[in-house]
Amino acid sequence: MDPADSDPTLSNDCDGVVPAALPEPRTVHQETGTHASCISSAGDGQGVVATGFFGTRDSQSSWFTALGPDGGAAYGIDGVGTRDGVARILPQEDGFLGLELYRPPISWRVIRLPEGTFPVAEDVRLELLPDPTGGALVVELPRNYKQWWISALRLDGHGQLRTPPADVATGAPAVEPKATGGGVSISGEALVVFTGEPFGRSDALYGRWMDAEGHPLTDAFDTGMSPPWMGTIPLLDRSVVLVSGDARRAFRPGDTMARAAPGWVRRATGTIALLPRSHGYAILLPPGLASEACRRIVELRAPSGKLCGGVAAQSSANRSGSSGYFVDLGLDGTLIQTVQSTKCSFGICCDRFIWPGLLR
Amino acid sequence: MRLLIAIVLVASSAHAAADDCTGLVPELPGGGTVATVGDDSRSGESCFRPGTIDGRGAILVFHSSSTGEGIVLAQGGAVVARFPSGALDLQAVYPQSDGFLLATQKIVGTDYVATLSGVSHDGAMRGSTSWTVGHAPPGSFTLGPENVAFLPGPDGGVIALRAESSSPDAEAAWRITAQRIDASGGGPAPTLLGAGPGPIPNVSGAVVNDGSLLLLVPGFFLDGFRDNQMVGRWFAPGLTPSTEFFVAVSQSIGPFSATSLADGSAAVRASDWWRGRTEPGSQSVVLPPAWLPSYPPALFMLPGKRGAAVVLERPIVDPGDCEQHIEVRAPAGNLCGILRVPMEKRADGFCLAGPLSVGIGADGTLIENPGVAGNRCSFRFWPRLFANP
Repeated sequence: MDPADSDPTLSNDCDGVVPAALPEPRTVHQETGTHASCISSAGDGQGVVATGFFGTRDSQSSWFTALGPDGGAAYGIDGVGTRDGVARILPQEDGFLGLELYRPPISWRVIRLPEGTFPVAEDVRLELLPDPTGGALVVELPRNYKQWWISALRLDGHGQLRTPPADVATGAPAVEPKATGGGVSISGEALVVFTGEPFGRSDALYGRWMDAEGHPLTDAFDTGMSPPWMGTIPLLDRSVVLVSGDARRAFRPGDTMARAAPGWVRRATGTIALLPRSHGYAILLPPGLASEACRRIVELRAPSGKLCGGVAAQSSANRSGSSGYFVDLGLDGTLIQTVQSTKCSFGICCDRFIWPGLLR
Repeated sequence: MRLLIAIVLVASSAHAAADDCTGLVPELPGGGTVATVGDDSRSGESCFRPGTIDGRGAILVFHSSSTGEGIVLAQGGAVVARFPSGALDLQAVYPQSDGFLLATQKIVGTDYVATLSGVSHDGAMRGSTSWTVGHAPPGSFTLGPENVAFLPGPDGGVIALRAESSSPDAEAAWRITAQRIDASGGGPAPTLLGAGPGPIPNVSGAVVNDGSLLLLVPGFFLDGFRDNQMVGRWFAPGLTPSTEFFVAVSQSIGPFSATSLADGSAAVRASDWWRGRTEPGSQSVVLPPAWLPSYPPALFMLPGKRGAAVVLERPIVDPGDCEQHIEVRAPAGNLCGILRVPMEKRADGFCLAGPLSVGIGADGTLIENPGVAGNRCSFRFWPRLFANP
């Protein structure tokens, strides 16, 4: 149990965090070919849910059917790139930003969806990372014949450049970082992370804070963590938690020394997502098998971290024969549960259970 | 005061010229003229690359048949010359005021050799210049290296842009040269544009109305620049630098090119998008005109630099009005009108319209590409339709 769970001063902290009732979900049954699978969905701030599929043959691209707030198909999204089977698509207040693999294997580029494919950022090595203030953090690694740079740029929710590329680190080809990443705090500062080859420490993860305008807040620093970098979690106290293996450490903007991440953050096995309007946290059941689907699929916590309750799966989602399972939270609080099954008339079927605005 | 008024009038007149639509949009008279250079209903016979027309109205067509592949020149509806050429060798055709410059690239021994050959309107071979542009490993058969580019000039001729090793150690240093080749296929010695350390870059660019050259080089090859930047440098008509190297496109790593526009500037394209417009001697890059076609071959400059024509996208198979639409724009980019060109309906009732369905020659001749009466070796054209009034 976390201290926050038993702290009497936080007795009102859970007000409004847990929905009073769980209505019947909107259900969408989708079928696709045998060489595809269901993947996570994403929901924008307007209630549009992009339901994802993944081509298992080329394993480099995914496609989405965007469902409007009325449940009907709003538009299709093709050609979003995937890495490690995860589609790179970031929900925005209205629409999405996606990562497209351009002329494989030339480069990755960021595109605005659904309007078109005008490339707003492009490089051979490029990461598209969520920004809780809206838009995205792009970390790229451009090179020339004798040098590389890590540079960070910020995009707004429409894919327009909010801040131009700012250099985070540079060096000679022999000490090029093998991996880069980063995350953004709820106040807009970005923590860019990279493996420590430039410092002779390939076994270390380094970081550098950049402010919301792209100016450095610190020098590069050793985070005290080891690769691989596996993600970041923004917390409502403005800190950003770095995830590497089982290790989770929190950094406040401008801090080069880690703090211990809260116990509930360290112990969480699912994706930690912010609730709309910074109303708390949702811990989403990690992708897995449907046998787990009878468990609580979302754990809800107050801004303090206090456990408030959860949301359990619909019994209709617990199908036998299910082979995959995802839970996602849209920006507007829409909860989306995906169950993949092979028991359908044609190939693979994906059942989506959608609760519009449930966790708003 | 009288002097001041005169100056104002001149300035006003100069401004008006850029957006002047007078005489730009022709009326399409009758059914045009038909030239037939072969019959693709015969086994093994076909025609490619139609619609390249010189300033005298000679039409150059790539033709293949069971007896071989070659280039056919027709004028006034009649074939005037045929000569052999390998289909894979021919890279581009640059129409001249009289005749054409043919760009070929082929493997000779273990080298890629690029050649520009001058051909007159009646098919007479004038001369040629060749460059060894790279080593061809055994078994090579595809296009060669990208370290050579041919940039058509505004008044004819071509600038051959070439990047090559400037050292016996090919990885150590490079230099870029420009050589003017006129319609005869020859020209003066190359001029050195720049040199630097590192591997040999690929090059591209454009020559604009006043003869200035925009050189484009990927940033990977230049100190201080990056691989997701396309770097430009302007050179005056005498090929002396008029700017430093500057970022012409950022956040792009894909194929790149530039094209001259009727207003004297150059538009820059990268990763399949028009990304900017820049003027001679300037390092600033502004947004490209929104009317530039997504498919670059659909853009034609009109004779005398009087404007531009854009062959619009149409349904590939159009059961409707079967017309190709051509936007005609003044040098400033304003739309002057749309020319509607009737296309021939096939027997099944469909027509083949689209950006490749018509072409506009250097002399302003409009030519239809799908063929006449189903014969792709037969062309309908309207001589000098877009020529100066």
